[in-house]
Parts: sequence; C-alpha cells; structure tokens
Amino acid sequence: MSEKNKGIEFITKLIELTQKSVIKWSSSDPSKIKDKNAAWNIIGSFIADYKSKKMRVYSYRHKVKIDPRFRALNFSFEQDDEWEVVVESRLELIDVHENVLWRFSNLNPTGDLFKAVQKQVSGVDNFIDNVLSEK
Amino acid sequence: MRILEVIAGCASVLGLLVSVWVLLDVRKIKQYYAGKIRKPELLNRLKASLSVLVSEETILDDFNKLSLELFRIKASLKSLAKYISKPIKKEIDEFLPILEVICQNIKKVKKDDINRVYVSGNAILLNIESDEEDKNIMH
Repeated sequence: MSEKNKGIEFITKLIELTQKSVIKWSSSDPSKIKDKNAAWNIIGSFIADYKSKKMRVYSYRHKVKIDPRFRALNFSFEQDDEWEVVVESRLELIDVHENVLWRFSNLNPTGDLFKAVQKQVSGVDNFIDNVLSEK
Repeated sequence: MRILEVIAGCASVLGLLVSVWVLLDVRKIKQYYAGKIRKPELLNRLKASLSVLVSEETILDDFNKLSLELFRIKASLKSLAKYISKPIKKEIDEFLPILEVICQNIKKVKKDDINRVYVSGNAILLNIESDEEDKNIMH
C-alpha cells in the first residue's frame, strides 16, 4: 500500500471512529494555531485525545490566484476576479501546549473528517431528533 | 515534365501530411482547453459524491441513494478518463470493474466495501490533482 493510500485509509478510519463516537472531539481555541494566516481565517478548530495522542483538525479559508489564461474560459469566474477563495482542512498531531508535532499531508478526506467532527461536536443529529420528537 | 510530376506528387503528399499533423495538433489543443474547464468541474463532482459515501451514516440503508452516488462516481471517473494521463487512466480502468461489481450487488454491500470505494476514489483523485500540479509547473 502506498504512503498516500495509507494516509487516506487512516483518515477514513478516523471518520468512522468519530461517527461511532469512539473518538470524542471538543472545540479548541483557534488562536493557538501557530500559522496566523490559517488562524485569522478559521472556520473551526477541534481537538481530541486518542491512543495517548492529541489530534487537532481545523478548516480555514484562503485565497488562490486564478490563472488568467483559463479565467476567460471558465464561466464560474467573473472576468475581473483575480482570486478564488478555497477551504482547506488540516489534521495535526499536537503536544499538550498545542504545538504542532506532525502535520498530515493535505488530503481530500481531511475535509470530510472536519465535517464529521463538526457534526459530532455540534450534536446536530440529537438536536434534530429532539425537535422532531416534540409534541 | 516527368520531374515536375514527381515534385507535384511529393508536394501533395507533403501537404496532406501537414494537414493531418495540423488537424491532430488542433484536436490536442482543443482537448487540452476542454480538459482545463471540465476537469475541475468533474473533480468537484467526484469529491462531492465520495464525501456522501462517508458523511451520510445511513447510506447503507438507502439503496437508491447509494446506487445513485456510485453511479455518479462511475460517470465522473469515465469522463475524467478522457483528460488524464495514461497511468492514472489505467488506475481508473482497474477500479471501474470493482465499482461495477459493487453496483450489481448493491443489497449485499457492507461498510467496508463503501470505505474501499472511498479510499480508492480519493487515491485516484489525489493522483489526478498531483498530475495536474506537475503539468502546471512544467507549463
């Protein structure tokens, strides 16, 4: 199994464990994220302890320059748009002071993990069930 | 006179070859620009369908929804295959029959099968994105 596939499989497992509530996440202070560009444009940041490791997952918005050669060909861009806003998610192993020990490579499933974590922490499923069961 | 005939013959063959070459080159350029527009759109569609597989925990209970998402994944991959390099196309060709088997046995599908589709789909997605980045650096 290649290193990339292993990374994808690892995050897929984390999503499953999060959905089963084996891993319990909680909100964390975004100001502790050392990358200031990410911290200023943060969507949400969550931490969890699992197998004696501390993990942090967060999403942030950042701007990417649009290649002018293809701007004219793509109808989703306005002709004077120079930048496109994209959302990026990161998964990190951190120490007790929330310093980054390891940052996992940027993979598409990290965004799905972030959504699963958001869903768990917000308790939206229980909330919907409670509202629907109200008489 | 004979010499002129030979020269004219050579010139027409050469003209024909140049026309074919121009035609092929124009097709390549057309495909390159079509890919530049279609590829991000198809990649986003693929990402969205793959996300549904893991984000909706009850998807295994809803065969229609599961079939629909697997069909969307299959369609996106088939369309993407037109615009990508041969090694990744080969990966897609190997993955599509597996997806087909899962689609045919939709009622027997387990969570592990769905996870396998998710992992393989994302691995292909990653390879396409890396390939694209490499091409952009070269250009």
